[in-house]
Amino acid sequence: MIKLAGYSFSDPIIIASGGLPNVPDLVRRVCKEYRPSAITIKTVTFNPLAPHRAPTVIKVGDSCYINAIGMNNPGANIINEFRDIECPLIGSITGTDIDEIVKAAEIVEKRSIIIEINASSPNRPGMGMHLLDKLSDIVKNVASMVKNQYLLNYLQSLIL
Amino acid sequence: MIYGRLVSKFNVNYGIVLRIRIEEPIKIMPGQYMAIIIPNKAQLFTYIYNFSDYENVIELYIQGQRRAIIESIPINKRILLEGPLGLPIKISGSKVLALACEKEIYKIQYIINYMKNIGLNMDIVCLDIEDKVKDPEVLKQIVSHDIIIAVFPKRVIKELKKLFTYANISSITKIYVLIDWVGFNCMRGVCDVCAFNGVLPCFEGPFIDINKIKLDDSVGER
Repeated sequence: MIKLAGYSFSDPIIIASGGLPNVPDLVRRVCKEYRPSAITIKTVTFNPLAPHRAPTVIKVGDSCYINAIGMNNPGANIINEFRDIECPLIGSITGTDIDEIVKAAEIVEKRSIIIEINASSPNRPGMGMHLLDKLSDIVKNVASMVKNQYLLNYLQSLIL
Repeated sequence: MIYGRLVSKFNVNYGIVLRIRIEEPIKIMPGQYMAIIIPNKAQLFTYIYNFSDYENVIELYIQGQRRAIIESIPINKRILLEGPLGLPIKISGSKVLALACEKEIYKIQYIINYMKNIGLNMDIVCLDIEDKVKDPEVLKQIVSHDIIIAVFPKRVIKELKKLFTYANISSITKIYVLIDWVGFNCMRGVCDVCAFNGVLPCFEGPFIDINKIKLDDSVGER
């Protein structure tokens, strides 16, 4: 057993955010077939977001290419369709401002054991890594809203 | 990703085939596909028409609107390719049936060639499925195969299901359905654009085991 943020995981294998699209039947199937100790959902925003249109690969120099999907997602409410998934879920969220991120957190909190704030993805202006300057305020605001005790303990430990 | 040089182009009934000499050896299994990347312009799904690992030459088949983009590529141009993508068809047994309408058969040309080359008994049935779901002659033709590869447009998927039901196919037979009518955007399943009934054809397919997809009443509506 591994403890993180007050939650006990059966093993260290957690599916990271981004690899598994937020398609309920697919997430359900992966949970059933592979039994990861948790699944981090693909980062969601409060409102749905369309992917970058193909080509998702662009040339930035000789033999140098960058792939960017664009953090597309069906919106935070998709997590309500994950209700019968037996694997613990980690809700990954982002947005363009604090209000939007808090609203996304309010939705994903209901079905998440941990909230992950995506402040690293580089491929959408105003989101992901572009939030780094505001991260402290984002965490404080999300923590003040969270009711789930596991999440609260974890987020408070970050602030302290 | 690999580079190749466009050697020639030729028309095949409903599409165009690009013959490309690739710069690195690759291995392509039946059921996989390739994407052509035109940087900053397009990322195109293509069917494998033929492949020779001995000559390092690949032939890619393109249908529909994408054809116009391809036609503008000049001969001898260096092209960026992504792949092979998707999952190969699992080969079991010795009798394979390709079931398709005439317009679609070119999409599985490489699969047909590959199966024949490794010595499998390959039958090809071209039919207009909407009129044939209960045709005893057709039903007789499709039983007794180890693998069935079905290639039809989305609008006739309900008829396809009926055909397999009436034919009473053995549960041992593997049936693969080509799902290429979904959008192929990132080609890796990550963007979920290709998601269909909880399956990601661009990543897990595009030939999907029929047991993995729910061919319910909502599928096949015109």
